[in-house]
Amino acid sequence: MNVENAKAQMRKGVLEYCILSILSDKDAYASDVINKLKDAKMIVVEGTLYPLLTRLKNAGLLSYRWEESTQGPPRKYYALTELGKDFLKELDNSWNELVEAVQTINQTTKVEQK
Amino acid sequence: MKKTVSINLNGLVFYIDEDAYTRLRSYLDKLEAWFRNKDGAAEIIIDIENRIAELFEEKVQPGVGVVTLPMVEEVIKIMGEPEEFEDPDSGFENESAGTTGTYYKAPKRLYRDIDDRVFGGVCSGIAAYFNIDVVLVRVIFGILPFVSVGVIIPVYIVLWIAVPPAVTTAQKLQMRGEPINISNIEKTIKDEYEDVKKRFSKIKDSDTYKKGKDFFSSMTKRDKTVMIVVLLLAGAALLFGNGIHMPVLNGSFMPANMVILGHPGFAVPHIYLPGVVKVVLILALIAIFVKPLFKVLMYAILIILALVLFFPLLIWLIGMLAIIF
Repeated sequence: MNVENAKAQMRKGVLEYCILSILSDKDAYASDVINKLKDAKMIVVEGTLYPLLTRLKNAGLLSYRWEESTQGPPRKYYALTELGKDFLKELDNSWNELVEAVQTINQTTKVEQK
Repeated sequence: MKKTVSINLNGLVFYIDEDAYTRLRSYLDKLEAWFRNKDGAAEIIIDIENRIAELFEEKVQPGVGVVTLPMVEEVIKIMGEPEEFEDPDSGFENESAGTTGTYYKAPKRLYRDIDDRVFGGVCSGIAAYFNIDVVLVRVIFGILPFVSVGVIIPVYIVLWIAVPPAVTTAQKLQMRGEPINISNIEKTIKDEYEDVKKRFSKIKDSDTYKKGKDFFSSMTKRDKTVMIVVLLLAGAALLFGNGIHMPVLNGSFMPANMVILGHPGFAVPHIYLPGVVKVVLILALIAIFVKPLFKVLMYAILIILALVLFFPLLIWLIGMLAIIF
């Protein structure tokens, strides 16, 4: 059990949530999503994203369309489906609960320590 | 000077150095192996290829600049090795396994090892299956026909036909009973690239005449030794001995120069070589070892064979003509 591993496990759990959250703002193509995740230090290697996008799409949470780009070949633009929006709402709630829970635990522990 | 290859990634053409190409190919192969059993594998690979194209595009102009090995290494670093992908599906049970990747132990299977073969790779396949030295298996297979177990020859041919060759990397690992995991697959793929590279450079250097010799020189030394010993023994048996024992079904397909010995119930015909065949074989042997005489002796053999084959036919034809007229 090392700390890097534990961190990675934590990130894994919320990665799907983050992708849905990024796409809830506006439709984006894979590289946009990657850049946002990288800026936020949510992913280390880009390869992580593609299996996730495919899985979310196959689960019916995402859809995509091809869009011509000004330079280069057409790009895949991902968007949330209705199902994806509902799913995201659920995750929003549980994320807030989780954050609260962790905060509560941390606070009470610290109080006890004092 | 470096040789370049042109590749098409997502409709963009890139020139890429040969070494860089090899690296990229092995990376993509590894990804393919990694995602093999997952949903939407093809789609994931295409998405990743497209992203790689995009990253190349940032560095070189498609169709103009050349992608180099450092660029490929950099892109692979950005994309990450499959072990580094943080996949929620691989879950927490993977924790203790660290980065060793998925571990899948397939049952051992008998394949023909076509990378290490004399004829069909049957012996090397058997050796891999039982994890013994291939030389031992070849010696056994080579000796059996001389000790009245000629049945091994049809057995070998049946095995050759029936046992599938180990073509894919997974099959090759399965043949040796090694676990099919990413590091093993990567290692095997790397080995194969080296091998293919070597073979290519060899083929380049050789013309058609040298090809046979090339195959011979590509065999390992001990394989050569085994083959030479087996051939010499077979040759000696044919030329100076009573021939080779080979049980076949009584009365079925049997050349005229086979003589059936009287074993009740089980016919053991010997292959006897008529004098003319021995002469031809000896001439052929001389031809192989005495290069300057090669052409002359080959013509001599052709003429002898033509005479032997067509002489009876000629006599018969003359006889027929004599009857008619």
